[in-house]
Amino acid sequence: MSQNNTQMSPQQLAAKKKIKARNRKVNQVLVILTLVLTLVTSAFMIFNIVQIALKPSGGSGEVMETETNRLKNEYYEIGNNPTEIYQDYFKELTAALESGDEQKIAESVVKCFITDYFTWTNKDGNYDVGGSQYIYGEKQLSFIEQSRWQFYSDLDLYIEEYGRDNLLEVSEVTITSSAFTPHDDRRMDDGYYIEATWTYKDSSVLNTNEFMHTGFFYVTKGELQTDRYEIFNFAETWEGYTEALAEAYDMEA
Amino acid sequence: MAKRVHAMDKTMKKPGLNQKLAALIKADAMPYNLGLTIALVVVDVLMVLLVFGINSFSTLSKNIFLIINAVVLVLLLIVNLVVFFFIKNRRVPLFEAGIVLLVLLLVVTIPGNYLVMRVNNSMNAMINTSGTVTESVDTSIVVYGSIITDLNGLNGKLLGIVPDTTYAEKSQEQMEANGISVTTVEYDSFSTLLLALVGGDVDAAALPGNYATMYGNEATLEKHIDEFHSLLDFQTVVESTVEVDNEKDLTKEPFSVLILGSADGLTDSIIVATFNPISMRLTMSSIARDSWVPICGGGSNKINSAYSTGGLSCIMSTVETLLDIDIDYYFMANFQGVVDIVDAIGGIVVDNPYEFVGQDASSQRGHKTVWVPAGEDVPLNGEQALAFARERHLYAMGDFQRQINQQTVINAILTKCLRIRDLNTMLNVLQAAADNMDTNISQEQLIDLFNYTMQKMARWKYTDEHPEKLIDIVGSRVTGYNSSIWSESAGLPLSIVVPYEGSIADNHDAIQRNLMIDKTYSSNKYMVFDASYEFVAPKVSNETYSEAIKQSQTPPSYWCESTGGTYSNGACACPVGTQFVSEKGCQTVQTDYSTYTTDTACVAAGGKWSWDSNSCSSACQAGYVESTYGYCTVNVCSADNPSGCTTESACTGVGNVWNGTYCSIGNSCSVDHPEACKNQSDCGKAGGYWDTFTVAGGVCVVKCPDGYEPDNNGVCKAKPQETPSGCQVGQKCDAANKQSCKDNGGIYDPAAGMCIATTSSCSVGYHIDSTLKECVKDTSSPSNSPTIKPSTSPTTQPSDKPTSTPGLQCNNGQVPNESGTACVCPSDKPDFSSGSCAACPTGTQWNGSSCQTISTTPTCGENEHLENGVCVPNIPTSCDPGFHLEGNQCIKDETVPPTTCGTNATLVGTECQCNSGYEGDPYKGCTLKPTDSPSSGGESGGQGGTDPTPDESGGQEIGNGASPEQGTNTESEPPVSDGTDPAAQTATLFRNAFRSLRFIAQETTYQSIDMSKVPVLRA
Repeated sequence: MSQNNTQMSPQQLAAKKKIKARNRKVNQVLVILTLVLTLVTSAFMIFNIVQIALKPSGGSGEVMETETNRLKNEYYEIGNNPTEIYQDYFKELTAALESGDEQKIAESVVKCFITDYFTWTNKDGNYDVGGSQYIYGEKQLSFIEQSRWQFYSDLDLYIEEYGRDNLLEVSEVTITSSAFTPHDDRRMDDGYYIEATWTYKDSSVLNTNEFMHTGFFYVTKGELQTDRYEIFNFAETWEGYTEALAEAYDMEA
Repeated sequence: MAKRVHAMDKTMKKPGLNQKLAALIKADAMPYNLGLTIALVVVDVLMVLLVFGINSFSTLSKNIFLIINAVVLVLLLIVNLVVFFFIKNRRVPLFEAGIVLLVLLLVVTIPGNYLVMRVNNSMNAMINTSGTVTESVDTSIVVYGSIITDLNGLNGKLLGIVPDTTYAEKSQEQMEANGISVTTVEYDSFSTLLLALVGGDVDAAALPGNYATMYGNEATLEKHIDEFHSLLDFQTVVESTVEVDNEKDLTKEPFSVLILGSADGLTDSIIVATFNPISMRLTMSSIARDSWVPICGGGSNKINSAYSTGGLSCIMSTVETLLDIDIDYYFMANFQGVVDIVDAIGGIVVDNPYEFVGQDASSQRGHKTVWVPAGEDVPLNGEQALAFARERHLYAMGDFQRQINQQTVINAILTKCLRIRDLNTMLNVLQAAADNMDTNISQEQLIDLFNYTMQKMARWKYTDEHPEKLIDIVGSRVTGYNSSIWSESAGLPLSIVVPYEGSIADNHDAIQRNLMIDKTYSSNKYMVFDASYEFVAPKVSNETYSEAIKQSQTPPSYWCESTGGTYSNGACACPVGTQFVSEKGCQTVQTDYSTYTTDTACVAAGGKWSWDSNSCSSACQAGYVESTYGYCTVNVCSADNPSGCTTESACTGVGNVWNGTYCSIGNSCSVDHPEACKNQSDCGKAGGYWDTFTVAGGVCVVKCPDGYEPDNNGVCKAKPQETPSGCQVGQKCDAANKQSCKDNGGIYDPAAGMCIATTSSCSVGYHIDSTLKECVKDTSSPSNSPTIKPSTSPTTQPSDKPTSTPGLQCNNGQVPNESGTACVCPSDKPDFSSGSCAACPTGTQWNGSSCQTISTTPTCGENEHLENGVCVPNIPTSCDPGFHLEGNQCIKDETVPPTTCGTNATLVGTECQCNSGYEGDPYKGCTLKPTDSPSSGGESGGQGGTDPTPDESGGQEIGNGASPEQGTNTESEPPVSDGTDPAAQTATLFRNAFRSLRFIAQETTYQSIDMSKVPVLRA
């Protein structure tokens, strides 16, 4: 370097020093600029984070939390937000499937269905029809639609007026009779005819006695003929069954 | 020294990239510092812009957006600090790190900002939450015909306007600006104004610029559209105010949206949608565009003109008034929007019963270039979907079916949108929406609703297979019936749809319930389900309602004669192969309405149902009239039903007015009913004209017959004939044209106002002056009157009685009348229209003034009725005892063995017998015999087991082999057990119960149901 310097003329040296001095100044400016930029950018970002954090969540419309760890077995998966009693009956169903006792499976299916379908305290809305997985396979969506027009049709009013916690919740299901019914030539598979009664938790706003608490169910194996049992039909009582069917399906009795 | 240098050279390695770079930086770091700093500034700005740009979507997931912001903050800090320290220390690794980071961030932020900008621009283009809508209003000053060719020609003329509209206001301003003085005539709707223009009541009209489109589809006005000429077209921009509530939480409160499909300024699709976020139900109520309803600002008009009349605020208030609801938001789309969105989502799938070639998206009517295939689950692209939504001609229900198709397309689009998973599709949909749609729902509200729906989707059990089923879509229509408005001056009808009051109420109720304004609990507290049956959602509105219909103002004679028929004596004789249909005229017989066996299906298909014959046909039979829409009843002559009065005596007998050939309602003489006026004076006061030509003695008409025009006294007089060749022999003409009569070789008769042949006779009291070539009065000195021979008694004796004119000679087949004072045609040849007496042509008869077509409608005998112009036997509805109805005849019972027994009865041989334990009529049904013991059936296997209640004893033996097919039947309760193994017994009990129940279902309860016809609710 000293050799280089010695090769440069004084003017060149002076110019070089001048450039260096200028560069130093520019560098200082750039350093300050960078620092300022960092601070300003950080300030903007922090402001944005705070703004988002404080912003109310999109819409105050309630959506019930969906659980991720759900009970399930070979053919069924427990529904959303199951009640305690529903979990117990589901475990019974799982045990029955493991044992292979078809009658017990059918009875457990009925118990699970009743508990899920006729309970409203864990339902998010009219669309959240319980127990549909226990309905005869190809009719599940149709059953949901039917429920939205019939038993579940006023659930939005009930929720808005009374709140979910005060609505129907099945507390216990009792199987009162259960019998095997072999298939015949009228489109039915082997199945079980089951009668049941159930009770609801006390409600301060609803007269639960007015709601369905007894019924008969015909449970049959699905199309795949596995151990998956599905409810083919059900109603409250035999008496007036045809009239009730006619009304439900808008047919002439 | 040299050796050391040499040794050093040997040990030094070749300088790498880093070293080179370091050397460069060390030599002069300024360019590197500057470059990095500039890059840093750009990256920082882009990053901040990107993060702020996506803020509006942060409500989708607050946590995720917080994480994104935090990560971006950390990255920015890192890259800023790297550059900062590089500038200070000039270390190469820092430089390299800085370059890499900056390049990476640039790669992310540049396209990211582009995407965000695109999305935000699309949303901003589509959304207008200011509450002010700016609309361009196109106005035309229109004339009919070619008499007035420029604006100056309107000076001093009549300009028709619809008051309180922008068109009226701006047109008058234009006239003033152009120095043209006009007199305005007000009309309550554009429809009536247009008809007045055609009828000549006004010289010009201030109309919406899209008037040709508005009325071009009118069958009656189509041929006149070409006669309209616009003298002036101009555009003005107006602002209207539309209320908007962007604070409403759409995820919590139900809301309503008016969906409008617009084209050429007309809202052809009008759908009121409501959404309930708790029930997740979406209702859509379509309103027919031709619905005649009260329009904002007063008056009535077709609903699709409300937008032309007063913009968005007008159509919204009109719909609100019609359905008695409040509308929160609007959503407007044009035709191209439908095409673009459907293409953006990759097409839709619908069920289409008919293959056709339909209209494309261009506004040019008749541009049919789009093929739409038929079938189930047919895939359609954008143009096909639009054509499907616009098609109406193929369907019996016409525009009503089109409304259903529009909802089908909306459903299909929603279904597809809920399945969108890739960003590109979403962006394309947004872009399509931005270019072609407008709404006043805010971006935040839309995002919140979207987010909310996604959360619901997470709970929905069928998200993978049927995500669209989460939303329960309920479609309905405001149904109505076809009618028309009649313009006397134009002689034209305007077709309209009159909504049923019942349908309006039903749609109102459904909307109010979904909005949770109506909080009536109506659900059952029990449930019944059977997988054998298909559930069909109930309809919101019926197709028809039993309401008194407002009679169409258009006389049936118009429909008849405009479609090739001949109208006479209250009936229309249609050409062969056609049939008269009310409000349509003679129509080709296309639909075999006789296949419809229920009144509902018949009326829905456009047929007419008669309870008397329990049959469906295209029109009411002779002697029947359509009293309520689609239903025929006997046409009884009454004061309110003048069409049932076919003779003068019947007509006047109930207080109506006989008009020579038809009966009209006998209201008192008034401006609304001039035909009821009995004299010339009253007629004039009522605005009518006195016609002495059609009916002897005179009748008051609203328009003089063809060839006649009213004089200053309001009396119909013959119009002067103006033919290029002047007045011809046999023609009526005024005195001004008598020379042309003479020039054409005729004799002018001033008394008759007619040019007669030289061989004809003058009017009474006149004689031919062959020199003058005209008829002159007898008192004047005839120069030559060869037809009048001097009588032997040159003077006539004055007398009270008319005396025959001596020497009266009649020509051209005429003969002297009874009194001999005039020449008249003989009774067998009454028609003098050709200039000589002649008989009426075959198929016509003399009505006192002219030859009229004889009605070809045959008169049917007893037990017959007219069908398609032919008399056919009436179908009996019941038969005498001992006979039964088979087809359309009564067949003696004993000739046919009974095949169907009643309930609880069995066919034994050829006779039905009640089952054991039952009594009654075995053909109609047997009932249980009274019994004390529940097990009195006797044939039961045992007496043990549970006793059923007494009235439930079926008397049915368990496993007795009785076959259900033989007509045996059981009660619905399980029968008595036989006391054996309880479990098996119960099983058998219930098995038989089900079996018998199914038999009940099939044999007695649901015999009428054909499951193959049970409609399946499609996805």
